[in-house]
Amino acid sequence: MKITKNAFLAGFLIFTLFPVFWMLKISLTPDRLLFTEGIVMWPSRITFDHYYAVLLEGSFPDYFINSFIVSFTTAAMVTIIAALAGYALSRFDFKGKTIIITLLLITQMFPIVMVIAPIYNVLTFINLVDSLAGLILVYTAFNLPFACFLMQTFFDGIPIELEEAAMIDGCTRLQALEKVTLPLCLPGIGATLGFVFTAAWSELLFALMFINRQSQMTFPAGIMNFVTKFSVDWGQMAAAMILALIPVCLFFAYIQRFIVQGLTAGSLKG
Amino acid sequence: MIKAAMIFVIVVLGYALSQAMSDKDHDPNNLLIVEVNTSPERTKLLRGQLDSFEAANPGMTVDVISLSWGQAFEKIAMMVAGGKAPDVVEMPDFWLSRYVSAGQIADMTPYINEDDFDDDLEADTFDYGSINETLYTIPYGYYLRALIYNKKLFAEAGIEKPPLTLDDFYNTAAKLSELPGVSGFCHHGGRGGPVFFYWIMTTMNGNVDFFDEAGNSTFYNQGAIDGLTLIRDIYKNGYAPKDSVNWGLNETVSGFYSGTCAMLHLTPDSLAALNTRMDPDDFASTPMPLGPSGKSFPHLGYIGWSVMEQSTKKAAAFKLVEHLLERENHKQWAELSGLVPIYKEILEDIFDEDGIGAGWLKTTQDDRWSYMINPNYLPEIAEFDSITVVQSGQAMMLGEKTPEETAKMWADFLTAAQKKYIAENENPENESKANE
Amino acid sequence: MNKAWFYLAPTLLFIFLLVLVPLVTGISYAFYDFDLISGTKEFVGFDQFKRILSEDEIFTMSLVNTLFWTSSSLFFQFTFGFALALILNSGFKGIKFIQPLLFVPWAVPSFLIGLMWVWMFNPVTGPLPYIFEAIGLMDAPENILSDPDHAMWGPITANVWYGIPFFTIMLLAALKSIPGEIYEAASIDGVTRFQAFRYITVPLIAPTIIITLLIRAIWISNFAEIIIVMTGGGPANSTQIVSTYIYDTAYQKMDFGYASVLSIALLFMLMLYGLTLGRIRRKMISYV
Repeated sequence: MKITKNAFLAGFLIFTLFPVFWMLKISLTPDRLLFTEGIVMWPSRITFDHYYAVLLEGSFPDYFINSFIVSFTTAAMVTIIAALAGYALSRFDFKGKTIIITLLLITQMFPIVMVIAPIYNVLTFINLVDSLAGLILVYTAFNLPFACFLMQTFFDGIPIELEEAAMIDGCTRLQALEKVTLPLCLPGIGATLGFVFTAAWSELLFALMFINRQSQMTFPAGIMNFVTKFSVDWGQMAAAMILALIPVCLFFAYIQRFIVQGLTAGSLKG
Repeated sequence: MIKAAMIFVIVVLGYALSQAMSDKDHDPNNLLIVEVNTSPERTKLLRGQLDSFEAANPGMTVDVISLSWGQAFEKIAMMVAGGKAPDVVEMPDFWLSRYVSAGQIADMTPYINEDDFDDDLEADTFDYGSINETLYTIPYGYYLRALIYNKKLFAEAGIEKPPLTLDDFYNTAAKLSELPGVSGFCHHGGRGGPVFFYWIMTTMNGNVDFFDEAGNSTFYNQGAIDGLTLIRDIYKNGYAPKDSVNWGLNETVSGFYSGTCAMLHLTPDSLAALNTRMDPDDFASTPMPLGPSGKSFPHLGYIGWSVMEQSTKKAAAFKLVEHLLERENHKQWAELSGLVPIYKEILEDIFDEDGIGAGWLKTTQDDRWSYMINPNYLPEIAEFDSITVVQSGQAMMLGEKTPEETAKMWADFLTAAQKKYIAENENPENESKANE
Repeated sequence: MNKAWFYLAPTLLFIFLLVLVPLVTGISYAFYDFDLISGTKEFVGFDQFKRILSEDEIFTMSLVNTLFWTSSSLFFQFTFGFALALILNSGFKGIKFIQPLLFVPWAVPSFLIGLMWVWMFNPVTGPLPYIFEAIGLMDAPENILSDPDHAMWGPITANVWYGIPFFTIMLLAALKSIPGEIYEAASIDGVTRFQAFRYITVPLIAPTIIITLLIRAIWISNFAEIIIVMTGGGPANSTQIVSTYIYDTAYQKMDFGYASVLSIALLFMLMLYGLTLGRIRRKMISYV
């Protein structure tokens, strides 16, 4: 049993990390050796030039800061707003609930390419084209439906009796939510935060379409600078990608505590 | 906790609101220019030329938006549709008719005419940028095709000369493919590759025109079908790499410099990418092979600067276009981009008879070669070029369709588009001129 | 007025303004002869719907490809994602460091995923063809992306790589929400491990399973970027799925009207799928 488990785990690690390793290798390979050495696991000579260029010569530090602002704000906004909606969908019975759920689902079914132009017009109308604030609003709107379902599912899993008991003890509904239900819901909140953060961190199409100025670009849009009409600057692009993965790893390392801690922190025996 | 969360949401929304209320500049002296074929070095040069424009016109400022090639078309379409069109746009030939027929590009004729330029200008420059005798764009350089070949691999295969005719081309490709791990020809089967088909079809036809006078496509002529059969055979016999059927420009270039394939149909702007990765002594260029008629019709594409109809600062915008095309600026531009310049003298400065540019220089100077221009005035050309021919060309190379069926399909598409165009414009003769 | 609306208001406001309004606009293109660049619109009713029913071979082909693309991607993503979630849930030494690494693919922008795997599959630049040759999948190290019979496996591999972490995170969070007391009680009653999994774990995380399967299927069938970057729908349309076809129709042919018709067709099929899954969900929950 344990051996099978470890074998699986090793398999997943190799499958997940090998392409990343290959990119790391490319990012360290000098341009001239990239195509001349054939398929090798490690270049005969490595260079940090690409990292140097990305970090010090281009605008990548700016892109990373923009990406961080956008992703973090979006993740927090979505999680808060979706927690409210998920709570309503889980705890209340009301007319139109099925319609709302269906509507939320339908928003996910229409191809994004068909709505880019209309969204652009909405953003023009509210004067938020080419600004990070506009991008945050769009990301929030597009991540909300799934986050709502997710929060609903997690609220569904928490016995309503606990909340009712707290309300009998004199808590208001909001107090009961804050003191009893939310702590139990931490794994769900952690998963939602992580999901939305990475979705916003890696989103390209909206970022490319709604941002013009270099100073407002996020990292995925900035990385497109390395893809010109007839060649790709593989070394620098790989370096930028490796660098971009670091904050995400740190973020996950941080939020995994919520996902794992969840129930031990709350008390179910109340 | 809930309270803090609510305050956070309100602060973010308040920030968005303040952004929405802020009046973004509607400065009458500010021009916006969009470049689409972006590279970091080129953006730097463009910025420098814009700075000199600002210096020469005190009070004017110019902002530049650099789009990456892959998404530029969608993005400009959206900016235009959203009523936020820039003033000056870098306009590739195959987009031009779309924007012109939508009434989005300003007529240059009142602002710029040929007399402003000297005789050294390539004679057809203004024709290329015109639709229905109205000037909409001025090319900033030509994407002319020639053949580059790997001298080292040629020597290894015992081939002394680059191919002069299509027969030589076929035999050379076959001979090169005898080398282990090498294919003769780098076929460009994905997006951007179809001009090779057009070249081989017109060259085998011995006629550069896409249409006869009645508006029927020449792609179903016997020569055109033979041309397709020739390239299909090159692929089928393994003289081109198997995966080249879906190669984009990136893959063909890396296929060439990695030595996977030894001949490549290329525009001169890609040479820079090759020079950083290959020894310049290891490869050379030659004009595209001649057809049975003793002529060859390499494709000539162009990208130019256009002023948008929505612009409220047209006079200044045209002045900027003229500034970018001034001889000195154009020379820097041509040197950096590697394109065939629009001034003949600069051409001779940049493309050296003994250097890598020899193939292009010969193409421009020798009568046996004349340029093939796509029917860019047809609004359907972008669809034809980027979807129809790519997918059905692949089906032909893979043996799912015969060259004859394929040629018929393409000819039918083009004939329908051309006849529609003739019906809509009473005076079509002006247009066929642009093909000559 | 029900209190629920107070909790739902912010969500509905966002969705209405930035999703629903654009969505309705996008759907309305289907009834117009619409040119994005000039902004001219001419009402044509259902004319454009006739085309999809009668004469569009590529649509039929791309529909079959969409089914294959979606079901294969979903199957592998879910199976591997679930397995990984179970492994992570059971815990092991060093999990703190390994767990964040396993989530990495989800954070890579999709076009970069495409470029990365193109590189891996190319015999000039990547090791995969040689590995395939060594284990006997191929006779010679060739690029799978140019073989019309197998090209789809390229993007599917990339998509599976990208999508496993999604299921892992979601299912892991669901597994972690199951109170440990339930298992304790069960083991006292002498329930085997497999029985506990079958009769406690699966029913309790079933709602999460259903919702993730539903939403991922929708996303995957609408997910065009990886295919566009890796094969552009080729060779010879062999990797053309409905959403890449929609993309080409809208932005290469600039035919937004017909692209919208295609999108509506896709929308209907996804709704059918959603309905079916919704039924299953209701049944499963009523059993619990």
